[in-house]
Amino acid sequence: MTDRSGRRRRAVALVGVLIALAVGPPVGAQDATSVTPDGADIAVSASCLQGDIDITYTAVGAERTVASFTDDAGRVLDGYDEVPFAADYSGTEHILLDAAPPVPTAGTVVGVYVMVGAADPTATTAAEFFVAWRCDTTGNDEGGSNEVLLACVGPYGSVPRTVADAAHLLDGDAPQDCPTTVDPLDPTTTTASPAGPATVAPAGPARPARPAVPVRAVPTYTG
Amino acid sequence: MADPTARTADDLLGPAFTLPSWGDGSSWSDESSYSTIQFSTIAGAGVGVLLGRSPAGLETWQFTRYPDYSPLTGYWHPLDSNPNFSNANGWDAPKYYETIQTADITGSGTKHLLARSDVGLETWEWTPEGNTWVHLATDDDYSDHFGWDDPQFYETIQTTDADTSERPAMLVARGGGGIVTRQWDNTSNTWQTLSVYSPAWSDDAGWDYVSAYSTIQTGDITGDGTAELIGRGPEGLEIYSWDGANSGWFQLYSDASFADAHGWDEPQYYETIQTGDVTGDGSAELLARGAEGLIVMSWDWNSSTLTQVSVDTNFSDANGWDHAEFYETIQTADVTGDGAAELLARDHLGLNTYRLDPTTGTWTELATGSPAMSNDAGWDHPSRYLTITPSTDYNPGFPVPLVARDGVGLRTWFYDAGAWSLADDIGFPAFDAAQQRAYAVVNATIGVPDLRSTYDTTETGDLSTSLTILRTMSSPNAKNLTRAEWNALKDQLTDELTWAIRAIDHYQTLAAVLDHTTMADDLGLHSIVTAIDANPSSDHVIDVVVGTMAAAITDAVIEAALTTAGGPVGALAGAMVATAWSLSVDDMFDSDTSGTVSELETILANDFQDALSGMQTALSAQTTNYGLLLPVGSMLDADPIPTPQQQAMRAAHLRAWTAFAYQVAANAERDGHAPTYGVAGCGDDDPYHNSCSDYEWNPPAGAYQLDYGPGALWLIQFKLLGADNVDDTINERLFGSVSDSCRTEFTSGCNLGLDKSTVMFDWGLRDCWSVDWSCPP
Repeated sequence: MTDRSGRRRRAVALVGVLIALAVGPPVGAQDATSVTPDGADIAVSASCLQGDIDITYTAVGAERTVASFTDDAGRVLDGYDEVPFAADYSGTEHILLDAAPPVPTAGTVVGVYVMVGAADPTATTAAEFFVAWRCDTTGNDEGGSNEVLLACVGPYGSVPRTVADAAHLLDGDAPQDCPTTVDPLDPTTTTASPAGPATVAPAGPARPARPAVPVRAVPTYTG
Repeated sequence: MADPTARTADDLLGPAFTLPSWGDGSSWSDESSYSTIQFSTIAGAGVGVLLGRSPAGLETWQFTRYPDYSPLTGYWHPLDSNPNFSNANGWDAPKYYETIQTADITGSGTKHLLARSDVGLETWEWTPEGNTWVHLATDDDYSDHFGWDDPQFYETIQTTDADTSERPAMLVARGGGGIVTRQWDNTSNTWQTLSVYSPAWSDDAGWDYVSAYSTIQTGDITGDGTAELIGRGPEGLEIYSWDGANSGWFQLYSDASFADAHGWDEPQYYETIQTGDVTGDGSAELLARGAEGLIVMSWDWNSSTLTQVSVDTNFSDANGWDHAEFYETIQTADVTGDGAAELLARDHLGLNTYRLDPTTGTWTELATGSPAMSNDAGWDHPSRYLTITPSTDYNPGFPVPLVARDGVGLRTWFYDAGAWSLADDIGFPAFDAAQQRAYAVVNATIGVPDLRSTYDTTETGDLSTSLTILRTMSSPNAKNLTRAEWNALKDQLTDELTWAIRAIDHYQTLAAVLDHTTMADDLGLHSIVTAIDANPSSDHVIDVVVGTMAAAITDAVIEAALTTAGGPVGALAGAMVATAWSLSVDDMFDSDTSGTVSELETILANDFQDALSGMQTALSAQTTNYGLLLPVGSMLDADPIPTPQQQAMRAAHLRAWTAFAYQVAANAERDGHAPTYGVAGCGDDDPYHNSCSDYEWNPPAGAYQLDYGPGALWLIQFKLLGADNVDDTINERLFGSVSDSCRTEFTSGCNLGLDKSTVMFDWGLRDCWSVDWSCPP
């Protein structure tokens, strides 16, 4: 599946180059959209009630933002599918979601998924973000203890969309790395990178040594 | 430099509602109120308050700055209303209210309240814990009994910090033989005498003339850190220094050029004599406006004389400064904070602020015609221009406030960057970009184009719906705002909606108080005219002063509001009613109207409707101006008007109206029925012309007797009551005490509890109907 998808995109790209050479620059939002993800983390206000995360990216021509707040019981707590607040943006965006009752209890693992990109997203035109945390009833800014378990960013189709999807990455107590390469042949969508030490591994005691995550075929989560 | 006739006006003086609402709609246009407005410091250094005496008592207000705004913005909120100083207790007499002042008599930095009552000089202490004045002592040396009820004495009572040992203020006052100086003793809480009749500014020496005794004041002319005693008598200016070692005043200087013989006994000159450190050298200069202009004199230690620093002919009589509405506003205050006092003076277009260049002796204008206290806007009335009051020690380190009373209430400005700015001239808190995106979502969710623009309404329904929606709103999607930003936005809008709803509720409560339609039946003018057996169909024209009625009604409501609940909400309730009438009566000082009973019913009903419209305008100001919405709404949210207070205000309003209606009815009878027997003097200018012998103490039929206390009997030729209706019904109705039930629900059967002197002197009946008040019972 990955290989087929990669070959198809390369073929499309090749056709695009040929067309461009023939008639000039390509026209159309789909082709103009690009989103480069840079990081994701919970906001200080994140809790069991509030699915607040901060995502960092650079976007050009973004047309759509999809967000989803889920828990480890498979329940969708909140979500939206909206036009982004800005089509062109570089920096951190604050994502706010509110859990519908019943609100998860303290200790529940909850997660927020965000997609930013084209209306019809692809790995080249959209980026994804996913942060999972063990939640508390209040945000860390109000004395709560919300612990990040997983923070992933990557091109569309590269990161979990729900806590359930990420269950295999959330087995241990310590933060986990994210899935690896989605399409190693596409230089623009090479790696679903960890959000970085600051987000994946919050400051604190050194983690115990653990086995490296094996490289493996990763589902594209295209739903 | 100012020529009072030369500039254009700017009448932008602020919103239609302001706090304190000491406007013309209540009795604040009366000298017994407006002349008492003053700043003070009561709770330690740097904590200022504003004092003013209403008919209900002495009000104490404090200005709170918005912490998130510039130091120029904030709002006044009431701290206390002390009923001891009410009209009912006699404090509307000049001999009492003119003595209200504050001074640091203990050296603690907190000022005490001093005021002379009939029994003597009373000293009050502010208690921050209770936010109220507590009576400390009464010194009967200054009582009426000892003759201090004459203005040449009580008007000179003042304090001065004149002791080099840095002891607290001394009390100086002129008795018949001269100045008496005393000092407060903290141990015994009494005033101890330091010197008597020194200086000997006695009656015999001509100091009982207002042109002399009113100039007595203190100021540190020599710059030695202690104040001198200054006075201008018939022979000229005299300056005395305090000799602490010998506990007495000794003469430092005299200047005969200020003598009566040189014309300084004219008020346009002697009233301008004052001190202020306009050069910034640490010693006060003497300022005085003569016919040729404003003179500034400075003390010269070398020659031990006052030497002239400046004469500015722009303030000359020829330029119009001999008019009281201009020269009485001349005063000094260091509004720029540079150590040198500025000069403030109002010309016909507004207030001007000047700075003196000590080297050249010339004044330059810092602010011209600002604030725009123009004659055209009514600032030529003493109740306006005499309230222009800056304070340099209100809150050290912050811009200097300036207050002045206009028709709506007290305006507050701050001097900053060369201009006077209105304190309440602020907008709603701004939202950042993310909050603006969220605000758009809020608007869309509620279904309005701009939520904040919906506050300007008289109904709470839509706002309550908006508040419910807002409270249940989730965070907006894809708007890139933090939770803190969203919460702040939501909290702010929730507060604003809540405050607006409270303000509207408050308005509706007071609108019900003012609702004239309920008076259509047995409390209507027609009914009351009929009740005194007059003919309501009479075509006799009656004169009515609407402003008087409005003030009476407002004062009654304020008194009821303060009596039953007190505190901020009571004051606020009164403020709304006062503003309603202030805005509805075009000219409170000349609001005469006339008509038959039927015509007056229509006129007055329209006036009440106008008052309601005025109250709506006041409400609109509250809900559209954040500088008002915040204090008004938060006060009401914390302390809504309880039902008993609403009832009391309504009853007080009806009682005041009914009293007015009886006055109109009585005048209708007076005008409609000339005295049926010959009363000598009726129609004459001399109401006291008549005597007992005119009647041989045989009141004719139709005459009505009012028992006016021991040994005095008022006699009114009372067609008011009709020849066949001489009984005590009306007497009881007018003067009988008001029952408790009538204080909560007023009906046509309730007594009005009027003061007999009010009826005799204020109802316009005396000219024809009163006779000698010395007749025996």
